[in-house]
Amino acid sequence: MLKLLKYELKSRKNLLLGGSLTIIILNILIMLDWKLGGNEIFGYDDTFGAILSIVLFGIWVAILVIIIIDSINILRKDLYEDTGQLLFTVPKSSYSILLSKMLTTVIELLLFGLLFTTLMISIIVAEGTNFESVKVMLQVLGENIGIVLQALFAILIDIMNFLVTIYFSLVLTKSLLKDKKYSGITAFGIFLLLSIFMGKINSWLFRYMPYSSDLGMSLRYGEFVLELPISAGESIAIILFNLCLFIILFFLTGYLLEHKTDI
Amino acid sequence: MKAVLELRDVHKSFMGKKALQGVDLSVGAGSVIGLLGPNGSGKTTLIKIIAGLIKQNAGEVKICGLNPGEETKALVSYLPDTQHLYKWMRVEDAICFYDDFFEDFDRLRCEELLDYMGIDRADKVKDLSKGMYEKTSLALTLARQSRLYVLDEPLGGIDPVARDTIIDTILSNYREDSSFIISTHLVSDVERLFDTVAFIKEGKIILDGEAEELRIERSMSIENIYKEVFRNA
Amino acid sequence: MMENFDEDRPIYIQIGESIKRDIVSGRLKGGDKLPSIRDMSHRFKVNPNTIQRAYAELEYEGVTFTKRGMGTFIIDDDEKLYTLKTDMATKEIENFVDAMKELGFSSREIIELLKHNLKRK
Repeated sequence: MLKLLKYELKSRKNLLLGGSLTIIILNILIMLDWKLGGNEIFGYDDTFGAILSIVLFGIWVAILVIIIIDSINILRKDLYEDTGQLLFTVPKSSYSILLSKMLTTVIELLLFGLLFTTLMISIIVAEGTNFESVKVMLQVLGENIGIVLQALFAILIDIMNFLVTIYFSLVLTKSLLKDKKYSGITAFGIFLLLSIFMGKINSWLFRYMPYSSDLGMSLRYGEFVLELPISAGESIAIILFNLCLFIILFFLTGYLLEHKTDI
Repeated sequence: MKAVLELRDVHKSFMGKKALQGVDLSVGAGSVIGLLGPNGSGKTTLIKIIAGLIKQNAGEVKICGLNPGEETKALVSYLPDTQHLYKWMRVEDAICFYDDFFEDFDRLRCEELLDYMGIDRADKVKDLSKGMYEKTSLALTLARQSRLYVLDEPLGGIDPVARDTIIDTILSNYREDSSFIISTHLVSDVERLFDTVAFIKEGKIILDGEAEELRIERSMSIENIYKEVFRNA
Repeated sequence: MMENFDEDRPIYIQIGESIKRDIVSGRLKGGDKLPSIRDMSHRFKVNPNTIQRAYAELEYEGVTFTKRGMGTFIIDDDEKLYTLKTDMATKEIENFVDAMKELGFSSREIIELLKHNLKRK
């Protein structure tokens, strides 16, 4: 599995390195601009900084779009192109192949996510804001670590679910249709139906799960307590439901890939 | 002799189109079998089933007694007739890939073969000419010490010198415990390599047997038998 | 080097013939070891099983023998080798005579032509 992951990441070397470097360089430029704002280097007004910020934002969007497209292509290409004849004759189970592809996308998201967080913090620092606000932020996070972790876990499950829904749609399409012709639209259709179905169940769960205020979530900071409109019980139920859904779809996809798909 | 590969009444169709209609084939240890037929006769489908890429609709496929799957992929060394290596790879990366995934891969042997064929390991896979690419993938395939080699059209459209190199490589890889299945429609180039031949037409094996026996029986080369069998194909 | 075979005939027989020709012409001598099956298969670019079969055939005909673990050797028996030589000569002559007869020559004419041809050389 790790070996499969290694080659998936290796093939994305350019995206990972290029993306990271571009973001880092642009951020450094922005920080310099802020630091030296008003100095001769970047002019009197902040037009340059504004342009940089827009470019940076654009790159963020572009990277996100690239990652989403790539998360589809990472499997679609091996299903429909000649490289599948290399990947699928490797003595590895379809499950490890699927998992390695999913983890690749998760790692990409994690890498750029971390980069983003780090750089945001460094910008705040560079901006000369008082360190108090950062401290407060960290303190809030620390005091509510349970909720934070739960939220992060929920996001992770959501991402994995999103990916497995894509993979299931692709693999099901491939096992149904031999031709590539209508495969794109079919896979998209299956994906849409599944997503709507899953969304409906999620909102149904959200509405009808018994509400108990004892389990109500609250965000604490010192004396300050913010009651959140959702209960921990509810969100745990949704997380568990999504986790089950993920496991079912994952094994279904793996089974189809192993036994019902012709490469 | 225990069979390395045993096919019994294998059927396969794609969206209603019949590709294989009841194939029986048995490959013993140490034999080199020629799978002969024109394009579209079902050669590639059959080979892909053995490689574990395609699943038959009916019939039985046993490789060293096992159903095709994760385990048999470790026993079968497969050469596709397509450009299966990833475009981002250099030859070196492809070597590492095989080395990482196939326990029976002999890295030194592969490097020896590539040197012998004059291929630079720093070259990018996507920049290789067709002949160079075929040699590279053949070196990778043959550097595995597998029980069964399945080579799909290993000599498609390459020059005679390269062809001789490839034939030499196949011969030097011959071991008594391993077997080869070589599909081709260019029979005269390789007919001396085969001890057994199977003619496949419209998804059925219509004639098979020991190459020398067929020559004695019909006083004809395998190529001429091929021409006769497929005259109307 | 790729020997030219007539692939309409079994290859193992042609390999056997090629070895026998080498013996008769003196390129191979009684007691010589034949190349290994692997080497021969490379030399002729044929399947090793075919070489195996050619060797088995030669052994069956009494032209060679196998020493366990050592390989295949040409028999070291002048009398037998002489027989092999005359056998092959006889076969060649038979082929020649058959061809001439088919062209319509009588035995006397064949002898005359042969004499003439040999003298010229």
